[in-house]
Amino acid sequence: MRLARVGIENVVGALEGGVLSWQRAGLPLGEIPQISVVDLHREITERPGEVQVVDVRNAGEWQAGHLRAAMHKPLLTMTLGAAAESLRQVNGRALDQDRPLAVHCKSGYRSSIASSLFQRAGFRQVLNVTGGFDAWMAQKLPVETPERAATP
Amino acid sequence: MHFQQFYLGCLAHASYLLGSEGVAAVVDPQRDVEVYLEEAARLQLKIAYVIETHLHADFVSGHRELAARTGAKIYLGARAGASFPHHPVVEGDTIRFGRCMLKFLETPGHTPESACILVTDLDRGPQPWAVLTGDTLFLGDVGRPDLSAEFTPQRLAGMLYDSLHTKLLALADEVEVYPAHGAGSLCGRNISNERSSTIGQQRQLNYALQVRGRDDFVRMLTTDLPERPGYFARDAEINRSGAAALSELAPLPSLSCDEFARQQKAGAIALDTRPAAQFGGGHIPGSVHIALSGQFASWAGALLGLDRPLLLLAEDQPRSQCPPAPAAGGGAHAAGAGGH
Repeated sequence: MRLARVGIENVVGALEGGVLSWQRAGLPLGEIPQISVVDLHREITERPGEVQVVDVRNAGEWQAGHLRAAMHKPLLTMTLGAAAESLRQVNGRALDQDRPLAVHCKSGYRSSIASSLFQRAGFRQVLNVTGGFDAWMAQKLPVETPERAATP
Repeated sequence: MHFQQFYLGCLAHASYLLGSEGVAAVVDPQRDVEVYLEEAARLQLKIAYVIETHLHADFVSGHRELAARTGAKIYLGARAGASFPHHPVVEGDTIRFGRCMLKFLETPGHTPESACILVTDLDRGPQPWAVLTGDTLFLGDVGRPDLSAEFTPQRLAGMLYDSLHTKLLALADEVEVYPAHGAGSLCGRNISNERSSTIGQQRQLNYALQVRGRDDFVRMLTTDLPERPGYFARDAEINRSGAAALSELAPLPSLSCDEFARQQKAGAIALDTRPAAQFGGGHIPGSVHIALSGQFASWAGALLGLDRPLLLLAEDQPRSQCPPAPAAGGGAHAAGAGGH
């Protein structure tokens, strides 16, 4: 129903019993661990360069402030129609599919979408950052503001 | 008069029901029109007018189905070139029913055919007390000018400047503003969280209304535009001809694990709609996660497109407070919590 609201009418069906029935049938499941902002900050500080951080918020949110370690890749650019190759790069820089990739947005909604898309594209250690940038700010963790624009 | 806003979280979309003395108008209806029919019946109103402030690009509108089921007449900007029977709206057109008077302002900019509607309640006084601004003026933002195939963003942004400054800002400060979208909508950049405001507040606080000079406004509005979701052009065209009634769509089949896996192998995309924690804890490999709790439909349209065959995964335990899913449409299991 909700999909028809935007004009998606090509729905084949729904899995009877959902993911639980898949699990009960003994079929394999994928996982995306959730990581808190405090743990992410510790990872970035203690093992710099190990975790790749991707921020999937839009340009305006990014410009207002972001994590220093983060790379910017707006969720809207990550369509299924886009080349698989483009999903493995940020601004022309290749991401490492074998290293941890922590994905965050503002609150955690968009980053979970992006996490699933990264995993589909072959990333083996995707982490979804719980609570996103809001949680990061709430913990008063360091933020970089690229443009010297006065904060509103 | 009766005035009611319907807010749909999954599209950050607002629609309106206005009624007086047994007659009602619905403005910018969502595709599943049952909500208006039920509310109108409860209030003993007959829906006689269905109004589109413009051809929406971000969702499929229910204007035709609502008109077909009520006998209402559709009102839409003359410049839309719509192919279904409708009243082509021009500047100054009015509709009056009971104590309610609606007057149309042509406000091109977001799209060429965009219109705003001044609402007067004759019991309150002879002056309009509210304006329905569609995607022309949002709370804290204005509509994006880059969705037309016919006009350049620069041209539309210029028209938008004129519409805002000669039509909307000419209204009195106390006139209440009710737009078609709220925060997070892909139709704006920076829409605030409120559901209504006033012309005076917007005059003071809306960043886009602070810019003086048409050229500066055009430059500001056409720089750093967010990506335009691929499905927008398609939805605008669907709305121009009018979508099939939902009751004509086939019901959603339930699939066994084997069938699900077979379809997935054949290229269908598994779409998991559960909360993030459930998805993270265990999901079918290869599935895309878009939780029902947020702007589910918008993201599904923007990221997956409209044509890929989809396989749905719903919550393990359907929540009991959910309204019954409509018999028709793309997913009994996906109907989820009401209001999204």
